Amino acid sequence: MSILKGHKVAIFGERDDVAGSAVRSCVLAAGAEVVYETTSCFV
Amino acid sequence: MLVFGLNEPGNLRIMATTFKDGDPSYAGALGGIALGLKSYHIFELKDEIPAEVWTREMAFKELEVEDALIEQICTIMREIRGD
Repeated sequence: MSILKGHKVAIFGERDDVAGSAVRSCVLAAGAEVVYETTSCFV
Repeated sequence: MLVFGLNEPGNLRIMATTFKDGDPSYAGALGGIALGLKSYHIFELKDEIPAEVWTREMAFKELEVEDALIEQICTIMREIRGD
């Protein structure tokens, strides 16, 4: 059973790790709906 | 559900716990408010992502991170979800 397909997803990326835009591309390709996305910097 | 791209275990634990059980420090707006949301790290979801997309977006990032850190991240996320 797919974890992502058909689910609403909020994304919290990190500038120096995995950016929100990269996570967004991945989860959209897996069939999820992105409802929020941000890329923070914790440094 | 939440999907994280940050790799720092301490921050991950606090954020995932906050979205599931509420702010553990009771300092923020979600103190005592359990939303019950499940959190995943993008590294856990590799099998769900089409291979060509993973290669384009994630392969280099995956190479940059030590295997031990990826395992630690996955363990923390499973623990908080209660898997």
